[in-house]
Parts: sequence; structure tokens; C-alpha cells
Amino acid sequence: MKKKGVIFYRLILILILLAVIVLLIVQNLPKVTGNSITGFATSGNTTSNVTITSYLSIAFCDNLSTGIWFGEVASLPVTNQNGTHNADGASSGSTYCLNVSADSNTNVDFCTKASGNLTTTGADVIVLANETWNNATTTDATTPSYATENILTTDYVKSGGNVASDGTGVNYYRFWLDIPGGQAAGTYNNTVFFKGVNTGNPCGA
Amino acid sequence: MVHKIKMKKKKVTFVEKILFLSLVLTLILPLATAGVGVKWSKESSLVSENSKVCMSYDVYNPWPQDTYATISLSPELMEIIDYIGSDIVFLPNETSSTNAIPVEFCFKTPKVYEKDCWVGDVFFCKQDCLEEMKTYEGEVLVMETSPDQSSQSAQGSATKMSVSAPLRIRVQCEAQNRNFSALYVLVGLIALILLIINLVKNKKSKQNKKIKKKK
Repeated sequence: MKKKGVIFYRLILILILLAVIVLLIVQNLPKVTGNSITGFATSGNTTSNVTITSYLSIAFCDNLSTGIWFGEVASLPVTNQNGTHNADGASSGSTYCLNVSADSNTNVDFCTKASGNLTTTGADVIVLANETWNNATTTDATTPSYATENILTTDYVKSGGNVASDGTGVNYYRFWLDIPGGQAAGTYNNTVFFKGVNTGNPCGA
Repeated sequence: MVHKIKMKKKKVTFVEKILFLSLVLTLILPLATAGVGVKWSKESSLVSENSKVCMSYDVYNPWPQDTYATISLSPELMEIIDYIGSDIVFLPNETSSTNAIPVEFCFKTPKVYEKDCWVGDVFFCKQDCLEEMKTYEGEVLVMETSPDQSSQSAQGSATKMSVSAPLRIRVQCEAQNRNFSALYVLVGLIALILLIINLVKNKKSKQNKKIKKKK
């Protein structure tokens, strides 16, 4: 009688163990296979498919790839100190520029921002609002215009719109720097970023 | 004499042509260095939360100089991404968009939808997915990376350049019934322990009986 009770007890425990295994499988099977159990259905279908591809490429002109230098300034204050390549091109045009490749299937909008203030290793600062720019798709002695200046900011702003992708598209820049009187001597640096986006798209962050 | 004059005229015309062509080329193509390009055929992606996702973009350099590029995501997308991994890619000069180099980058999406759990954040959870699908918009950035930055301006502003492709990431919520797996495992463990205790006890009592019989 006692033996029968023991066997029954074991049988119950084994059944519980089996039930647990089954329940674990049922609960987690859809997660493992990614499928749920469904009925069968038959139908005929065909797919229509199209892939739209966009591509664009830009490059710095030589003089912009090496940075924007304002030279050595000996007497202060200075207003609108020219970037060293603001007017050293043909017809006194700028040689700060970005090219859009003909191997692009969309025109390009350019965006510009700066990393922050110009600073020295000793933490002296020329505020970013003193660094200004202007742009145009052609250049000569007066273009990009000296009359209009845009302040560089730490957020991207559009700096050139709808620049052609037929191999002739170039975005020219001029840069200026104001240095107040009493500014501590030193070498001041920051980084200016240029981004090419599909025409009409926002600059993003 | 007349012939000589004609020859001179021809030579001048040829030299003039070359000069004119060089001038046109100089005007049309201002001296370009290395550049970067991006080619894409996907602007949105549907991904599951808490999963590793890999995407591929094609990068190219149709310009006359070799360069290097890296892929990254804009800050709007970095908000929802735990990590991003991508190598620096060498882009040989004159690599056209048709021969663009595919670059794969991977990221991990975190949990963005709330789960209803009975114990902590892990046990007996269910997910109803009543919230609206979350969408994050940003850009994939391909940045030109020069291994030698010493050429950059020592005084003034250094310059960096990138191209971008828009990307919209939609994070999919996967509905789940309450998961009782932890309870099943607990019950199973208790049943297993009881079974083992019972078997050990039974074995001991059999051994005791054998010893008693021998005595």
C-alpha cells in the first residue's frame, strides 16, 4: 500500500515536470521561431518593385582643405580681417570653395557650423560671433559680397543652396574675423564644418 | 613666305586652343582635393526594440586624391542608439558611384516601450503596445577623415567636411502576453527537488533494509 503511494507521488511529480516543459515550450516557441500557428491559405500574387537611389559627392578646393587662416595680426583692434585666400584667385576671387561632383544625381545644399569659440591652449577666447562668412556660386573681386556677413554658429545653417551636380557646381566662401583691442596674444583655433545634403533636405544637427 | 606665315598662324591657334581649354578647365574645376560621396537607396528602417541592427551604405570618391571616410549617425539618432560600430574606410581616388564601396555599420536599439511587469522589470511581463509607434529622424553622416591632420591650419579654423543621407528609424513594438516562464521554471524546480529527495530517501531505506537483513 505504501509502495503504491510512493509510485503515485513520483508519477505526479514527473507529470508536473513534463507539464512545465510543455508550458515553457508553448510560451516561448513563437519568440524562438518568430511564427505563430495559423491555418493554411492559398493565393496567387506577384510583386512590383522599384528602388530609388540617390548619390552625391563633394570635395574641398585645395585652399579650404588646409583650413581658414587669418594670418598674423600685429595691431589691434581689427575689423573684418580677411581669410588669407579670400581674394587670391582669378579676378581677385576667393579660392575657398567646395565642389559638387558630376558623379551625383542630385543637386546639393551646403550647411556650415563651427565647433565653438576660437581659443588658445591657454584658454584665451575670441568669441565665435566675431568669425563671419559669406558665400556664392561664382567668385570675383566683389562676389561673395563683402557687404553681407553671416555669423558662424554652433548649429548648422544653410550656406549654399541647390548647387549644380553637372560638374560645374562650386560653392565659394569668404571668411572674416574681428579681433577686439586688448585681445591676449596667442594662436587661436576652432574647427569649421561643412556638410553636403540632398537639395531641399534640412541641415540636421 | 606665305606658307611660313600660314604655319605660324596654325601654331598660334593650336597654342591658343590649349590655353583656352586649360583656362576653361581651371574655371570649371577649381583645384579639388579628395572628397567623399554617399549613395543610398533606403531612407527609413523598421527595427525591433532591444535588437542589434546592421545597415549598409555605399561610399565613393570620384576625386583625384585618395582619402579615408567614417560613417556615423547624427545626434538625433544617437539618442536611441546604445552603440555604433564602423571602421575607417580607405577610398581610392576616382572611385565612381557605380563602383562605390559598401560600408556596414551596426547599432543596438534600446527598449523604448514600457512593459507591465509583476516582479521588477523582468518577471511576469506583458506588452500591450498601446503607445504610438516611435519614429526617430536624423542622418547618416559620411565624414572625410584624413589620417594626417597636420596639414590643417595651425592658426585660425581647421575645416572638416561630410555628406549626409536622411534616415528615419521606426521602432516596432512587439505585443506579448504575460510571460509565466519564471513561475513554470520555479514549479518545475520544486517538483525536480522533491523527486530527487524522494528517490534518495527510497534508495537509503532500501540500503538500510539490506543491512538489516544481513544482520
